[in-house]
Amino acid sequence: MKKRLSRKERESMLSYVRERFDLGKEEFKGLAIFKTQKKIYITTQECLTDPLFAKAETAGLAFLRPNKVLKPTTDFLQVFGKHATKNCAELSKEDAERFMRGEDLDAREELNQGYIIIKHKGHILGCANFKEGTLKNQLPRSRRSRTKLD
Amino acid sequence: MIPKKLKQRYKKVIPNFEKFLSYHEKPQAVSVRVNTLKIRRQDLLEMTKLNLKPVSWYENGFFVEGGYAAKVTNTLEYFLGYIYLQDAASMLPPLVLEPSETDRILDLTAAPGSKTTQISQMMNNKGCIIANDNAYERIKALRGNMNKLGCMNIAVTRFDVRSFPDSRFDKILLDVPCSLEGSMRKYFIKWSERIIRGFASLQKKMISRAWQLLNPGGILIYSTCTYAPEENEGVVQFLLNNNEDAVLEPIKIKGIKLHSGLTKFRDTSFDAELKKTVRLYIHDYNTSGFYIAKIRKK
Repeated sequence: MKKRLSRKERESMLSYVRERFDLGKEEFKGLAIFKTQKKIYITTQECLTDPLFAKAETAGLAFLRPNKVLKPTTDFLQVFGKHATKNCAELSKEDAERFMRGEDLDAREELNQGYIIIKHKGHILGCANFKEGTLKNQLPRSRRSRTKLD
Repeated sequence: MIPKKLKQRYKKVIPNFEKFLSYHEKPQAVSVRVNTLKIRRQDLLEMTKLNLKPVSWYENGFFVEGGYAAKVTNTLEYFLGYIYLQDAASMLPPLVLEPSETDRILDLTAAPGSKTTQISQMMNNKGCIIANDNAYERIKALRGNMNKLGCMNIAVTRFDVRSFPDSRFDKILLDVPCSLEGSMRKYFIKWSERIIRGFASLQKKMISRAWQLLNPGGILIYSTCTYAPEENEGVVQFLLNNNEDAVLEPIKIKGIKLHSGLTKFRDTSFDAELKKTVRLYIHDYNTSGFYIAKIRKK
């Protein structure tokens, strides 16, 4: 069941990504947010107001998972994360390869507890949950890869 | 292995037939589309180590020289969704559709989403595309590709095309299920003339429903990856015969030479108008074979 967000809910989600990653409201201008039981999605206003939206299985991009703490999806971060300035970690080639394989990593820098945007050479690989010195890999199984970097 | 009967069917229809046959022994060219929703074309070209050669009919399409699919799927750019493996011929129907951000667009048989995500990128992730398919597993693949490529302007529906709910669209893409003769190098297919007749019957029902969903002045693109005239010119002729408001539009795409549609096959004749539809054979550019018709509603 798809549900449009109330103004208050939308504000609270946008303020979460602003506070956590410094992603400003302007990045979401013209976009609409809706939720299902499992996920929160981001789509265009045109899709949200389309007469067939109510009959649609889904629309747009998976944005957040409503866990205890809102968890940003890999797909969302790979599109919007380039604008983030907070809670990002840049990985070396070896660590990036391990991350893409789905492994957890020891953090090599001071980080805030919670979700972290994982980058390599500025490219966004995905998301990790930083807890007790470890970056817990959040890459979905379907996206894991044995890619070798140059 | 090409069935004997298939050879007999097309000997007089497909130009340069011996070359056509020889291409069935040759691996199909691997090609990718640069996903400009995530990276600029120039930045990708600077980043990649793949040996890319431009597809002459689409600025974001590239053949991978000396490439095989696994070479592409093991790259960082593939992992990041910067490139998408897509047959260069299948980049054609969205180009013929010419989507704009303000169009209401329907892709009736969208999964796994190669053409849908290309349309999304051509619309700069704006507006709305309704992407439909009726099989759950195929929809899963479509959703996976939408997410990986960062497409926000797609809503996914699951209906049988023949009973798609009443609604009106400016542009419709109908890339129908077909006998896959043009994709024989990719898939192992079961081929018979009976199968062709079965698909043609289904396709006629699908195109009839698609026509009802189109706005006056709207455009319907009908495409297949087969050579069978029963599934191509025959289906379009069926639509023209039953709808006075259907007009064929010429198809011209810069950078590619396409063959005209047929006006005769065995004992069946088609309107001269059918020459406006186009065919592409595997030996033209070492892609899949394709058929495309562009039909405007008066």
